[in-house]
Amino acid sequence: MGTILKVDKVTMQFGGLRALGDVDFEIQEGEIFGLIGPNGAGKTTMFNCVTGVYNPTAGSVTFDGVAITGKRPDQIVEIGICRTFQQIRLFPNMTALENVFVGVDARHKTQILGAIFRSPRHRREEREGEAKAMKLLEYVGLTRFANDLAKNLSYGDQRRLEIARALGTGPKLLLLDEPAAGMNPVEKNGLRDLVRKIRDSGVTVLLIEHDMKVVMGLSDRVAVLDHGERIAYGKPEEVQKDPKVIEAYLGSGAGGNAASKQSKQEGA
Amino acid sequence: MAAVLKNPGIKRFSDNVAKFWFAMGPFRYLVAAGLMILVPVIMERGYLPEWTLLGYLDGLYGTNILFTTGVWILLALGLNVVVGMAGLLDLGYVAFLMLGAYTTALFTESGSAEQFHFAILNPWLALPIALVVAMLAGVLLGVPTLRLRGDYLAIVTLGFHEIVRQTMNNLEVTNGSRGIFGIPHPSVPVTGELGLDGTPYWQWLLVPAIILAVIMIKHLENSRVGRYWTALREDEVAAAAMGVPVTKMKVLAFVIGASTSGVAGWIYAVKLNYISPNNFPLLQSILVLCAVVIGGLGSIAGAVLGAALVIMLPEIVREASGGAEVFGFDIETGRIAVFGVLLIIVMIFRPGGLLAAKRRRVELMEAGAADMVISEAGPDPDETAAPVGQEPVVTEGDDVRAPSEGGEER
Ligand SMILES: Nc1ncnc2c1ncn2[C@@H]1O[C@H](COP(=O)(O)OP(=O)(O)O)[C@@H](O)[C@H]1O
Ligand SMILES: [Mg+2]
Repeated sequence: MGTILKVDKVTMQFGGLRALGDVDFEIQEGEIFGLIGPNGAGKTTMFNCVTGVYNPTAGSVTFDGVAITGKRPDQIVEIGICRTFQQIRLFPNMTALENVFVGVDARHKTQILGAIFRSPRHRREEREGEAKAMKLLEYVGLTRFANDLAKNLSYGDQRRLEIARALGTGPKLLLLDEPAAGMNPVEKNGLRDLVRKIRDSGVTVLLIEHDMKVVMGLSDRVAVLDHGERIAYGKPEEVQKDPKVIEAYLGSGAGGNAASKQSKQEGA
Repeated sequence: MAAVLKNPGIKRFSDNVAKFWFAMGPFRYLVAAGLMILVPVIMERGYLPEWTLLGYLDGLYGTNILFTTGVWILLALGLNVVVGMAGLLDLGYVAFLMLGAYTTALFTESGSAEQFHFAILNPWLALPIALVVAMLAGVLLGVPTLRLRGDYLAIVTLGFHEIVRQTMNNLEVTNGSRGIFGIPHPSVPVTGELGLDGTPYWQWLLVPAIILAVIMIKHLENSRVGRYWTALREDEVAAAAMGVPVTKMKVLAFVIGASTSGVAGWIYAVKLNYISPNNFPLLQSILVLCAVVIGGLGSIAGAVLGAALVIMLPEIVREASGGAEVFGFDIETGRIAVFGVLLIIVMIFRPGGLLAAKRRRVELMEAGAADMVISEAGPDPDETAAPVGQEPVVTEGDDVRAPSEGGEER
C-alpha cells in the first residue's frame, strides 16, 4: 500500500484569482479519499489540474511515481487516472453502450489502417470492447438502458453512466466530482454502495462531495479546501471537529446542517 | 403556403425513400454499382424520358455532367467525414481538390515546352502522388488550426481555400492565371486512352473510387476511430478526459477527408486536360458543404445524394426552363438560387438532411419526445434534480473553462 497520488504545492492562478494555493495531499492506494470544501473552494480546479485540463501555475502532481503535470488529458488517462464531471458531460447522442465503449477504447490499439482493413485485432477489440462495455453497464446497474441515448437517461442514471464510462478506461485512480449532486436519498444510498464496490475492486477513489453525510460515511481520509487553501487533512471524524472546517462551512458559526446549506447554495 | 410546407405527405414520402434504401441491406451496394455502370450509357443514348428529369441530360453533355457529379460525390464523401462525422466545420474543402489537380499537372507531361514539372510520369503514377499531397495538406492545415473551435476554424479553412487558389494564381511554376493545359489522359487495358468523353471516366475511375471511399468510410465509422470522432463532435472536453487524443483525431479526420478529394483532383485533371485557378472559385467549397447538409450531415448515402442534386439539379433546371424567365430573371442564370430554395425546404422538412444519419435521425425524434416528458413531469423528488429527459447541463462551463479568458466558446 503505497502512495498512488502525490499533490505537491499545487497552485493555480486565474489572473488575479488564486483558485489553489500551495495545496498538498497524498492519496494511498486502495483508499477512498474525500476532497471537500464550500462552493468555489477550488475542488474542481484541483481535478482539472490532476487530469491535465489545466496546467498548474506551480507545484507538481505525481502518480505512481511518475510526474504527470503538463501531460495531456489523454496521456493521463493512459497512465491510469480517469474522472467524471460535476456538470454531467456524457456524449448525449450516443447510446449508453457507446458512451462506455468510448471509455473502453482507451485501452484499445486499433489505428486508422486497422479500422479501414478490419484487421483481426480490430475485430477482436470490437467484440471484446462491446462485451466489456456491457459488463460495466451491468456493474452500475444500467443494462436495460444499453441502447438508449445517454441524454434520455434520468439524472441519477446519467451520473452512473459517467462512472461506468470512466471505469471503462481501466483507471487505477478514479476521480468523482460530486457524483451525488442532484440525486434523491435512494439514489445516494445506491451511489455509496457503488463507490465502495469500486474501491473493493481495487480502484483508488478520489471523491469530491458536498453532502457531508455521504463524504464522511465513505471516505477513509479527507482534505478540506477553502478559498484554495488546504485547511484540514486527516480522518473524517477529526476533520469534522476542526474549528476551521466548521467555520468554513458555516460561515460565522451560525447553526444549521452544513450539508443542507451547501445543497441549497448549489441549486444544480 | 405554410400549410403546404407542413404537408406530412412530403415528409412521409422522403422518409419512405430512405427506409426503402436502407431496407435493401448490403444489396443496396450492388444496386448502386449496377446503376453507376449503366446510368451513363442510358443517359447518353437518351433512353430516359424527360419526366425522369435525368432525361434532360442526354448525349455527351449528359455524360460530362455525370462525370462532374462523380467528382462531387467523392468530394462530398470526404467533406462528410470532416464536418458530419468529426464535427469540424471546413469551408475551404475544395483546396484539397485543387492541390490534387495541380499535383497531377506538375507530375505529368503537361503544358508548353517551358512548363515546370517536378517529374514527368505516367498519369497513373501521378495518382498516388496527388493522394499523398492532398493528405499532407490535410496535416499541414490541421496541425496549426485544430485548436480553434467552431467559427474560427471555419474562417481559417475558408482562408485556406483562397490561399491555395491565390498561390496557384500567382506562382510562375503553375503558369499563374493562365492555368496548365495538355494534362495527359490515362490509358486502360483494351480500350486504350480514356479520351474526353465522361463515360469511361465514370466507369473506370469514378465508380471504383466512390465504392472504395464508401467502404473505407463505413469501416471507419464502425470502429474506434469513428466512435472517437463522434465523441469529439459531441463533447470535446469529455472526449479528451476519456482518453481521446483530440488533436490527432482531428488531424486524421482532415487527412481522411482530404484523401477522397486528392483522388478527385487527379481524376478531374486527367479528364479535363486543363486546369486553372478559375476552375476552383470559393463558391465550390460552399456548394460541397451544401451537398453534405442537404444529404444529411454524417450520412454516407446522404453525401452521395446531396452531391448528385447539387450538380445535376441546376443543369436540369437549365435544360427544362428553355430560357424562360421568372420575375424578369432568366432561370438559367439564377439556377444557383435553386439551392437556396432547396436548402431551406430541406431544412424545414428534414433538418437532419434528406437521408439523415441514423444517429441524427434519432436525435431529432427524441427532441420531440423530450418536450412531452418535461411537460408531464411532476414535482421533483429532490430540489436539485433536473427533470427527466431534460438536459441536466443547465449552466455551461462551470466545470472546465479556459483559464481566465472569457473569449472561448465553452
Ligand atoms: N477557468 C477559470 N477561469 C477563471 N476562474 C476560474 C476558472 N475555473 C475556476 N475558476 C474559479 O476558481 C474558483 C474555484 O472554482 P472551483 O474549482 O470550480 O470550485 P469548487 O469546485 O470547489 O466549487 C472559483 O472562484 C472559480 O470561479
Ligand atoms: Mg466544483
